[in-house]
Amino acid sequence: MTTAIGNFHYSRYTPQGLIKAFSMGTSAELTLLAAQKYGITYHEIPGTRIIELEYQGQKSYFQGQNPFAQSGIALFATSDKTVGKNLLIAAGLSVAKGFSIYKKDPEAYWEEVYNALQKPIVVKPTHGTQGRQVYTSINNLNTYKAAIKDILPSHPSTMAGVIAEEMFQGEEYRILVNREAVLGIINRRPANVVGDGVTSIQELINRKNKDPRRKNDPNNFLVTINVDQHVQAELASQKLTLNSIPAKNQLVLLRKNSNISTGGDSLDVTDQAHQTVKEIALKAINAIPGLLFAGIDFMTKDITQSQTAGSYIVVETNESPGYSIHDLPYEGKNRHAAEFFLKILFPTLELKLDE
Amino acid sequence: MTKWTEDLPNVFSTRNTPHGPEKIRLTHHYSARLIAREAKILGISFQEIPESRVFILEYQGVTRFLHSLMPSQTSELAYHVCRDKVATHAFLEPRGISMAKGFHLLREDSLAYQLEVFSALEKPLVIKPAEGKEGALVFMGIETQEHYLSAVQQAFTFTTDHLSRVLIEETVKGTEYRILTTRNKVVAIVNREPANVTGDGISSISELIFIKNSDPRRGDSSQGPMTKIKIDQHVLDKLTSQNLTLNFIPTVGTKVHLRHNSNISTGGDSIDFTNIAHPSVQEICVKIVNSVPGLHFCGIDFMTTDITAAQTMDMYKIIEINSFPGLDLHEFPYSGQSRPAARELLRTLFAELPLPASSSEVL
Repeated sequence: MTTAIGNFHYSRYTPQGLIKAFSMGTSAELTLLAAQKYGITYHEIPGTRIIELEYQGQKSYFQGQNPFAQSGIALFATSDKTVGKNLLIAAGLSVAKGFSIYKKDPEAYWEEVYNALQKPIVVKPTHGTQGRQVYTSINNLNTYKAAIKDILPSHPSTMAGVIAEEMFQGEEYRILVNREAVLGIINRRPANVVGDGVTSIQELINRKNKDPRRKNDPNNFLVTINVDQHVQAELASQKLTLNSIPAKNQLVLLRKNSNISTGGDSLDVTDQAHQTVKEIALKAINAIPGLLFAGIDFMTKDITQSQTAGSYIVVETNESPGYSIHDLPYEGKNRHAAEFFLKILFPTLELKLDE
Repeated sequence: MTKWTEDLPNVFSTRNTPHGPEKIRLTHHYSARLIAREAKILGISFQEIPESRVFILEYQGVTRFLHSLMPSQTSELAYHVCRDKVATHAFLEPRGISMAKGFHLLREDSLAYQLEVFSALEKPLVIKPAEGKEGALVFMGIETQEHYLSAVQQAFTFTTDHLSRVLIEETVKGTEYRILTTRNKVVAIVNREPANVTGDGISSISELIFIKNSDPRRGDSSQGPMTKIKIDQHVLDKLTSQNLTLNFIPTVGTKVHLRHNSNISTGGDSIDFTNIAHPSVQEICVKIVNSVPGLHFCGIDFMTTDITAAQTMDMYKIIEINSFPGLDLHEFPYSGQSRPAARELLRTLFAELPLPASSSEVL
């Protein structure tokens, strides 16, 4: 019996017993479908969201998008963005100029950092995920301080804080790598609509959201565009409203952030990227001790050109990358990321990829 | 009298600021210094990757990493299983290890579900943030629904993270021990006794606290191997619950406990029990480490009604496993023998190399 995407669940222990409680997320679901293909058996360890797999007498584990075979240090070093960024610097890669601010730092230090950076700047949590609490295009001290005040209490660790860094102008990409090869490159485009000359932005959003691949679930591989204050603000900054009618083929960006989880599009550009991009991505994963499978957030002025120190930055390495975007991109080819993920769990597995 | 930690090499993290590099203190400051001392003795290089708290250690051409006292051998699975109580249960219970009963609450759980959990557990209850540390927002001895709901609400204030959880558990009876364990053996066992004073028949409790705090080994920092006892609301509440005040004069030899929680960081004492514990304690702990794939070095919080007796399922309970345990409380116990915790961590890190178990073998 095959379970379809969207129908896998995790369980939870309650006083009533074990119940079906949480949807699984597309990347994990694709991995289980791939496991079926290779005759790998699996089950959730009840109540834990940990999947135990068995293949030829060997056991391996994963949770969500995280291959539990890798070293715990990989998790530490990537879940704290200050640590991850400094490991990239130590490996000689270009990153955005910036500084970390911790809870104990006085406001005078916040200002010192603000003054040392070229505007506009980005303020983000050292321990954030999925673009939450990321403030971009900051141009004045009050907005900057408000962003820091919002972020600081969100994590209990004394070493958790804020990264303030210069904002890089360029396109944003997600590069999926293992320690040996680049598996896929996705251009993440912020939530957007393309005009047809007659339809309003609101109606274009509604139409785009009808795509059955989009779900109102931030963990899905494509997510509905939800009109919120950020969308309203972005439109206002372009002197548009939801009732404006964009010209035919006019691309209207609805957000600043390009996360898939807030309705962004995934465009496969693996074959267009210059060889130097792949070299940088491999250098980035190898900069993190014990990291076996990573999503590299990469920004560049032009991905088809040879990269130089000023033309790109590595934003961060993610040790638990949503890889379904590479298998089910909004536009482009299936890169079989789920099967490469299985190979991390069972290195002896011989992949037979479908064309 | 000099402080006992003065001969340790100093270890800091560095940080890049607009006005240049700045030193920052590590959370596990003393444990990191103990590792640095042992590394130096063994000829292992020990260096931080700048502002990362990731240390590179190199010995005879082999490179290993250490982050927050966690050796690079520890798998993400092991790290996660130690951090998540439900996962800890899932891996230990099938192996016949005894654990306290409990449930997690999520932020979005309904009042009805919160009450369902309350009814399903035997009182008194312990309530704490699932990702908490150092005894912050831990509520013990919860008997009534009213106290339960208010404690749950307060425990959720630990962070504003929407994914944070609160753990509700039944209270376990007995004495708590921290047991430092590798895949092969128990390295050290200490009893962490809550902050306490022992009467001399003439001094009041507040004078006894003052005398105990004048021990030069006790520091002001909550991160040292021994910490001064601070008189706060928890201490006053604990005294009130025993019908005592700070002015009370305990009789000679009477021990008065000043807190519920046994953390060293709030003035607790570490007492070495390594040679006193029954061999069955060691068997259980080694079994625990081997029950979690990819766990090589950990601190097990172990509650038992009698550490000297053969352990039975109803006598002991595992409270939790720590994948990056502090080392200083074993090397600098308040009373009892010092144990080579840092050396064993390095032996785990370079498991395939013949590192000597004690310094006398090197010299």
